[in-house]
Amino acid sequence: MTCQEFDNIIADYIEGDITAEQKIEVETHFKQCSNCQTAFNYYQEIVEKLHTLPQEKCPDTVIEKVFHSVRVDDLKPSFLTNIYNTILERHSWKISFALAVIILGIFVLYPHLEYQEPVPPQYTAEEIEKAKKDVELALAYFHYFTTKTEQIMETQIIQNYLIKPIRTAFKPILNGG
Amino acid sequence: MKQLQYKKIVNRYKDLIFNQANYFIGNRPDAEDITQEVLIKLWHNLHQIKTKAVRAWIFKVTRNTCIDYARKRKAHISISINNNDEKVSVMENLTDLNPNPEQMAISNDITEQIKQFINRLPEKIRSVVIMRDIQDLKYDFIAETIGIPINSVKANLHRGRKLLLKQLLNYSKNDFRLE
Repeated sequence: MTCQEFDNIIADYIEGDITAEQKIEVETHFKQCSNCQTAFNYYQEIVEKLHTLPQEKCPDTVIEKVFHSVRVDDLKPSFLTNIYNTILERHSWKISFALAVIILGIFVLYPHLEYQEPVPPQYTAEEIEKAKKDVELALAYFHYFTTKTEQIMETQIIQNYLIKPIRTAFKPILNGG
Repeated sequence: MKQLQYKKIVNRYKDLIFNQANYFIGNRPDAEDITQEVLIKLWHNLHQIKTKAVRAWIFKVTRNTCIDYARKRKAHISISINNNDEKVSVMENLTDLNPNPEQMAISNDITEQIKQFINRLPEKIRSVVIMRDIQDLKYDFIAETIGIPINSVKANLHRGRKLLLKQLLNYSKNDFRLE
């Protein structure tokens, strides 16, 4: 391993992101090159120093200004929302428990509820008579259309367009066979 | 519900935003302004940010806002990075400086100096150093936030560390001579 190769791998070596072979090469190079060994020590030291730099807290005044800029009113929940949020946040387990009891109660009680026979609808004599006439009229129309279709099939389509063997085969069907 | 969600996000990320800005810009008043600006942008865009993407959005917008602020500063001094600096190895850097063990000891009272040197790093390198070494973010997250490949993140980080080391050693050397 050359010093340049060591330089290319130093960051990965510190993070342990190298293969076992590379690690052996680096350590062998350390024994042969005191300059790289020294360089590595200082490189590692600067990395550690950076990792331990202080993390400061954002001043509260900044957040107050932000809340003011986006309008404090917007950030304050409405009266109903406030109640809703308070109930949801403070009593969530109670609400969950109550819902669980209700659901359980429905499942337990449902089979024991008294079964009632469905009551058929009540019609007047006039309504029944009218319905009968409608049905008869519909049947009459249906009969007319089927008879007419049969006649058209026999006189126009079968006679004019089909060959004799097929016409013969159709005859028993048309005659009610 | 938007208000509650916003407050939770603000409480969770305010310090991270402030720290990123503070190390990037190098002074508290500007860092406070940047934090404020990012959080206001968050409020206006919260409806179109997916919950999972909030963290990446915040770091991305913070970085962009920091860069805008930094560019507005005409007097901003940055460490020049030339081809020689990029190619030179850590070993060569140190040999050039020819330090002795006493000079090389990075003392604990130079934290402020390190902060100043970080602030002078080139923008791309500075972001990576702050996000990786100070904020301890993962490489893939940094790559996604900045919009560069992971290898470039690693390369920039390495360059940043070397530049910082070089500056620190120069500083220690001068400081030592003064004594």
